Order: sequence, then C-alpha cells, then structure tokens
Amino acid sequence: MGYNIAMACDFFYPQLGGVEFHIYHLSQNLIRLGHSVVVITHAYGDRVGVRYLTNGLKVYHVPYFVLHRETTFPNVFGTFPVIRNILLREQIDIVHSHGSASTFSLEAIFHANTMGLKTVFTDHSLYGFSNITAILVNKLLTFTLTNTDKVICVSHTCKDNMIVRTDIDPRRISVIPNAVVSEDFSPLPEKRTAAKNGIVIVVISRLYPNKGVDLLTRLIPKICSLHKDVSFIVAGDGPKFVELQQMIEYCRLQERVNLMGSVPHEKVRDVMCQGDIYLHPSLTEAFGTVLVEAASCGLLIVSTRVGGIPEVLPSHMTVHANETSVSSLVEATNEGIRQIRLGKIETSSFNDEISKMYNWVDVAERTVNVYRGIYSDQTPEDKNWAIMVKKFFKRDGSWARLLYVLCAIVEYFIFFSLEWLYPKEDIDLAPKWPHRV
Amino acid sequence: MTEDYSEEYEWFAYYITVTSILVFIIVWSLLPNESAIGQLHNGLFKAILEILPQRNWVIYSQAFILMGMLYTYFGILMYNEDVLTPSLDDLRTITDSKGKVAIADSEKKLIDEYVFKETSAIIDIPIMDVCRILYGDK
Repeated sequence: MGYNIAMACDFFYPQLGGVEFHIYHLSQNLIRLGHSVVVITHAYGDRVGVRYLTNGLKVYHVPYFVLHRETTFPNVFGTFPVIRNILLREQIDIVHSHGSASTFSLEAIFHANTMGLKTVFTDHSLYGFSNITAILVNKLLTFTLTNTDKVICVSHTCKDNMIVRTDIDPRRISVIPNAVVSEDFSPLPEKRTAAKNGIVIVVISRLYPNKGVDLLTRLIPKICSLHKDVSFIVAGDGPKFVELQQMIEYCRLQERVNLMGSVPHEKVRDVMCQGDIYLHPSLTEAFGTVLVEAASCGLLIVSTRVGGIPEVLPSHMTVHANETSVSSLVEATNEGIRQIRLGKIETSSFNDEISKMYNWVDVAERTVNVYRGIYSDQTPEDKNWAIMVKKFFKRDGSWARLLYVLCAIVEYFIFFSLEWLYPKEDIDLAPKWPHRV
Repeated sequence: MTEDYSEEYEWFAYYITVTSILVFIIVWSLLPNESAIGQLHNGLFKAILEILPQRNWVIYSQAFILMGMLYTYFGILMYNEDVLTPSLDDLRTITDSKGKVAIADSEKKLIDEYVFKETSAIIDIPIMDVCRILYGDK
C-alpha cells in the first residue's frame, strides 16, 4: 500500500537544473516503489494544465503570475484555492516540497498543514544571514517549517545551515544526498590519452558570481601561462559570461579556451568526456550534483572546499584547494595536472564507484523511510489548529511571531470560506495510474 | 565562523530607516490634541503638529495599504484565472512547444517503453493514450 505524494515546487521541467531533476528522478523512483506521485508547479509559457509524463507521473502546471526568475508572486494565501483542489482531487497523504526560494513549495506546506496532511520539506541550497534577501527567505522558512513534520537536507553542511537559519529540532532533519543516473554519465569507451593530446580542463556551471566565476577569470590566464599543453572548456551562461570573454580577448587565449555558452543537460556528458579534469571554483554549494556527474564520467575533480563539497566525494577522486583563493586554487589545479600526467590515478573505476554510492533507488528508499517516520512519530495534536497557532507564537522575534499568528488565523478563515464555496464533496477524484499487471 | 562586518553600513541603514519610520508614525499618531495640551508643552506640541501633515493621513494611508493588499490578492487570483488560464478547448491544454511526446510504432511498444517505464529524459505521454489507460475500461 503506497502513499499518495504531491511534490510541490516552482521549479520543474521545462526549466533545467539540479532541483528539477531531483524532483523528477525521485518521483519516478517512488512510483517504481509502488507509491503514487503528482508534481505541482506553475505554468511555463504555453505549458499549462495537466501533463502525464512517462511512468504515469502527473504534472500540474498551474497558471500563476510569475514574479522574478521563475518564482511566483509570494502572498501566503493566493495558492490556497488551487492547491486545496489538487490535494483533495488526488487524495494526497503527504506533501513534499522542494527549495526554500520557491513560493509554491512554501505555500503548499502551509496549506497542507491547515488541511491536516503530512508535510516534508527538502532544502537544496545554503543561505547566508547578512543580506536582506537571505533574511526574508529565512523568516519565511521559519514560518513554514514551524509545523512541518520532517525536513530533508542534501548534505550535513546543509543540515547545520538549516538548524542555524530556522531553529528547528535537529531530530526532525534527515540527510539524504542527491544522486545521478550513472548510465547517463558514463565515460567514453576508450580513454583519452592525456599525455599525447594535452590536458583539457572542463568547467560547467551557470556563470553567476556565487559560482566563483571571478576566481575562474583570474585562474585561467595563470594556468595557461604555467602549462603549455593545457586547454579549457567552459560551458554555461550567465551574467559573468562577458567578463570571461573579455579575459580571453585581453590575454589572447582564443586558441586555448573554448567558451561554449549554455549546454542542454543531455549534452553535458559529451562535454565532460572531452576533458581530464573538472574544475569547480564555486563559492557556495549545498551538495554539488555536477561534481558527482563529472566524477561519474571519469574526470578528476579539482574544487574549492566550501559548503557540502568535501563530504560528497571520496578523497581519491578529488583535489581540494585549501582556501577559497586564486593562488590556492592554482596550486590545487597544478596538483591535479601533475597527477593526470603521472597517470597514477585510475579514473576508469570512478563510474562504478559512483553508481554504488549515488543512485536514485537508494535515495527513494531513504525518502520512504522518512515518510514512514512521520507516521510513527505522529501525535494526534500535530495538526490541531490551536496547537499549530501556539507553535507559531513560540517561534522567532516579538514582531514576527505576531505576524505568523495573524497569517495562520486568516488562513483558517479562508479554509472555512473555501469549504463553503467549493465543498469537498463536489470535487471529483482523479483516477490513479494503474500498476503494471 | 568568523564574524563578518563587511555589510555593517547596509544593516545600519536598514535599522535606522525602519526605526525612524516607526518612531515617526507613533509620534505622529499619539501626540495629544490641541484641546488636551497642557500649558507647559503648548508651544512645542503645537509647532510639531503644524509641521506635520494632517493627522487623518495616518488612518488614510494605513487603510490604503490594507485595501491595496486585499485588491492585489483578488487581482492576482482573477488575473490567474481570467488571463493566464487557457479555455478548455485551447490547444495549450493538450500539448506545447516544450513537450516531447512519446511516439512508438505499436501500442505494445508504447506500453513497454513509456507507460510503465521511466525515461531519463522527460517525455510526455500523448493525451489519447492517457485517456485510454485511465478511462479505457469504463
């Protein structure tokens, strides 16, 4: 007997990225384990309404006003009518939301709690504390997670960050890493001979400041002047693209740096397989799925030591820079190049090792364990409105908690008016995708 | 972790702005009326009240913000429903420019490869087949 699960997030296909693929693969593997999953996201362009993906994964693209970077307009109550309708129609038991910068996921948790459903939240990124965006996101998250049953973080660093940010009981947090489909990231059948062709360093990243592109623009000229047989492939797009271009022209490195621009996800493997070393200069990273993908393609990883990166891969696959600085990263890159030249690391076994460490079946099974944990830890008062308001009142600062209580009470009023306007009995139940006989 | 004070001017600016707005509103709305002013502070309070705009504006602006929020909520709901939602017979409810649709030679192949099997790329199942699978035996 499987659970009926709803994945809620602003980010889903057609947008591409770590969170999007996490939701997709996790859902597919939960379906394989015998559960029923629907995804709730907002409409992307002309992709509106309901879509069925392979294996009967149902996606609701809700038409909703998009504010900024594919995040919908945050207003706490606005999504209640439509989310309530979907949750009732699909007879959902558990609402599983992803990503703290996504309005849909946070609001879905709040509404599900009001409706007395179980809730789980997965966080995919790290946040600071010192700028206005982080403060607002953290407040919003504190509000949402007050009554959430379980929280999943993608790494231990992410868990620590989460506890500091939102002050929730560590016993409610589980750590489940991301995974990769290692068959999609397999190395080339015959290995490149690095000694003959020169060493190729690959960088695949969205070119944002937090991905360490400033470090990269200073590092590339240095490495190129130190080694005559090293070239770079940089894939990805973003606001820092122009700076990289200027650096290439200024240092006359057109022959040695290939700036590819944005690459679709299914081509990433082909790009990675052209290289020997994967360089990751990121300044912040909760998990770094791309590192696992690169290692799975048989690349040696050179990376900064920030966030969750040190816990992701075993030490023989990686060279870490001791500090997040250009000189330290140059040292690490040199070390990586030296190891490749000596040929003393056997990268061909990486793919097998990765497929044992990170696979989606394992992630899905661990997630199901978290779901079971909700039911074994539950108390009858968990979703009692009075208790939930009391919990809101115990959270956070003297002003914020009043706002939290106000929001909760307004939500309960809206709940009653929706029950009156659109009674539960009038909502059709959706038929479930059959299991293979 | 080391303490980072690189943004302390920014924080201070927020703090000062927010606190002074709060103090301003409290002073503005709680200053005693002309009739209630005692002899002692008569001149001072009168001077402050003369500088500030009419006190009705405290209520006006608060009511304006509150109603503005209410209208935004309903406005967004209506915008979502009347502008963004396509009608039921619109082609967009069936397929779109981003979707890759599963195409197979035979029904058996479709069922084996797509209907009960996950793909690593994201592929839609055609709406006709979805209807047949979900409602076919009814």
